[in-house]
Amino acid sequence: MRAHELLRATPAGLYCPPGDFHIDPTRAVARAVITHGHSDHARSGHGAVLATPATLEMMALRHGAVRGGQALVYNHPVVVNGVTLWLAPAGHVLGSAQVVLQMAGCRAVVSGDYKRTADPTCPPFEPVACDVFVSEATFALPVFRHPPPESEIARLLHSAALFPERCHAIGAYVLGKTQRLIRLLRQAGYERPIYLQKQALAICALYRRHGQDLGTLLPAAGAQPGDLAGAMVLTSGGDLALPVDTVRGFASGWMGIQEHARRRDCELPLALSDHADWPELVMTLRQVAAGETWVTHGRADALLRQAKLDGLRVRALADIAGEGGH
Amino acid sequence: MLWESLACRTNPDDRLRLLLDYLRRVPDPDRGFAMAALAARLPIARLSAARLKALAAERVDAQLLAASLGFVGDGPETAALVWPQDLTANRPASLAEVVDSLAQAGKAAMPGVLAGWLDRLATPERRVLLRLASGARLFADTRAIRRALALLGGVDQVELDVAWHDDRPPYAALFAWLAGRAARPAPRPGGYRPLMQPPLLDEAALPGRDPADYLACWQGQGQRALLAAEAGIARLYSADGEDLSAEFRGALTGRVGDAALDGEVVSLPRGGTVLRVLDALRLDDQDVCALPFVERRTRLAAWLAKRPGGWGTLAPTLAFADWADLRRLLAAPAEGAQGIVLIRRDGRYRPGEVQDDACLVWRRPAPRLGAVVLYAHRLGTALAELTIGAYGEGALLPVGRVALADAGAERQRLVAWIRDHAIGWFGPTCQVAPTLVVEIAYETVSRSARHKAGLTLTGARLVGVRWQAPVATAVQLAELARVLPR
Ligand SMILES: [Zn+2]
Ligand SMILES: [Zn+2]
Repeated sequence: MRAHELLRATPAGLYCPPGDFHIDPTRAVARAVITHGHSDHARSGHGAVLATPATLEMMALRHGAVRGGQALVYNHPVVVNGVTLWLAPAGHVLGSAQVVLQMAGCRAVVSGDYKRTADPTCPPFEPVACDVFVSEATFALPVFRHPPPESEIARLLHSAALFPERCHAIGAYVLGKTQRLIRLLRQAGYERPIYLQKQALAICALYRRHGQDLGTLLPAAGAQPGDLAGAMVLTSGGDLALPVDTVRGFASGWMGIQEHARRRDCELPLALSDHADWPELVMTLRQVAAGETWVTHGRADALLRQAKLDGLRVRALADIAGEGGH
Repeated sequence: MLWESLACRTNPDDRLRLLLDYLRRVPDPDRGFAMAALAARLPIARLSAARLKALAAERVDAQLLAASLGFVGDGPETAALVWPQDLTANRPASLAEVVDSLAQAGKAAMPGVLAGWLDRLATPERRVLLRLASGARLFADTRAIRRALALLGGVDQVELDVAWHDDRPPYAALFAWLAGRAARPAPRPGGYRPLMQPPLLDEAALPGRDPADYLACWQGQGQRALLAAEAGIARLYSADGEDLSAEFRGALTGRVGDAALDGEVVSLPRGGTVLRVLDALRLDDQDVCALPFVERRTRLAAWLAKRPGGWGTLAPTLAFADWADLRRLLAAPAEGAQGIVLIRRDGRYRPGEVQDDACLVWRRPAPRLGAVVLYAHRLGTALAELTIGAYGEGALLPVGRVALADAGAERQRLVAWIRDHAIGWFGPTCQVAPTLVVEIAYETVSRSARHKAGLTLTGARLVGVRWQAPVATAVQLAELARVLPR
């Protein structure tokens, strides 16, 4: 079997013709395999959904009970219409998975979003040798080299120690980044309560059910301004009354570039990302050594160039989809 | 790391705390070199943008470099980010080692030495090094550095300022003094001395003061400066200690005489400048600071009279019998004057910030106008300034810049407005839809060749936002041109 017979790009997203299911479809489909709970991957309204238990719970948290939900733990193969399918850890957020498809000697891996840096909230990315590897490219430029997470946490804690009377409010994506920040803070010895918004608290409860120790978390909405003085608050936007003398930070891979940090008008930019940076992307493509890599979810030009230097075959998924499927 | 933290903070107290924390943690001589780097006083040769690009192209594929530069926009920042760190190489033992080797390398060898260090440093360090090498100023607030140093050693700010200006990186003598290991370094003859910085007069306290205790002069007609001449070498410093000598070389050669004079460099209507001398710290070899002002002034007049046709002229005093007289003068001030400086007849000369009523500045009421917000600029990571404009010939032209910090409680709302009305970003500058009128207080309207409008508002500051005002209510260029000095 040839790779494009096992997996092809369609307007609704990646589709496996023999298995008759989509992966992270962009619209409601009959049967979907979902890599992880972020909203650009886990849309609602599908007829049936296959995903890790944590991802299914995240979808239920956002949209209510998932119709036709089938939970599949990591590295446990199932057969769907003759296609062997299993989920391998992607190291992105809790429950995030790569989808491995295999049929008639051909193997494709759809990695979803992934990173290679250790993350206390999820098992590490497992490289799976394959014929086709579909990779994200969020930070696919050599300027993106995320610093070690520990050094960013150290900067945050240094600021908290140097300005003990000030509230530190760090903007962070509500699913994944927030929980990782909490775990990293706890690992670095920060034991005081951390204040969160309602939605983040609900997701943290889900993380707790999956064995994640997040320490004491309190609702920011119920706190008096006096409580927040000197406190740590993680926010994901929206209305939140913060003390006047708050140190505002933001945790994102884009913060590694000073220009982006400046545009956010924040005082404490933390370059902390759940996506692979440039060295991790290059390393992963070399490790997986797929016959062909399809790049999506970001910019492809630099990876195409790097692949050429490395003697690898890389194509932009957009170009493949543009060919109209053969 | 220190610089990146500093660059992101807009609050001066925060910066001071960050600086002090750094100075307490980092040993000599690195902390001295770090301060020098912040103040742009490191002896490192410049690297052109083209040379820097060529250097980076030796380490990174040209296509990847071009894509990176296209995304980031800034050359030194891109090079710092893409430069591959050789994790097997030894890190430099200290900042001093890096600075020493760069300072000693000739212009030809410098890029090679720099590249060697970049291989061995992490991104934040590469960023600072490349910025320094490209000649960018890291940190504009050198006063914060001097304040932090004075606090570190618990020493007098004026003495610290002198020692900072006299010493050179890594400031070994200065730090030895601050640590109590050595005596205060002797001030260099002819060096910088801080000028007397009077507080603003509180008009409510006027009735309690006797007008007869004071002499008054116009203030703010030119740039405040210190003329320090000793052993035939004359130097001119700004009030903040910047050496202006090169700019006024013509005026400073010959015929000055030994002295330390406090005055203003005033532009003459028919071209050229004059130093309008208000006060003296030293005349010939005598320190006159301890003398009463009237005595200093008498001696100063005699000293200047011995040098007719020289650059310095005595600032005239204003005749007044009571405070009402001065208030009348302020209502129609002399050309360019920002206010009146009042000096107690019996007061001694006290360099640095004056805390009591020995010397006061009575500012004329600042005129106000409405202007349109054209651009927002960031300093570090935060939005810090606005460019404001006025209508002229159907177009909006920039007439000045104001600090966003002055918006006080309105700052947050203004920043949100800027984000909502951003048209595009150009490096540190954000262009906004020209639909908002802000209220500006300013000192004067002056001619400016650098502005397309041909004029600029000096001493402009933001005093409010006229959220509801239509842009048509903003000031017209023609109105500003009418109040230009002839
Ligand atoms: Zn994701
Ligand atoms: Zn994604």
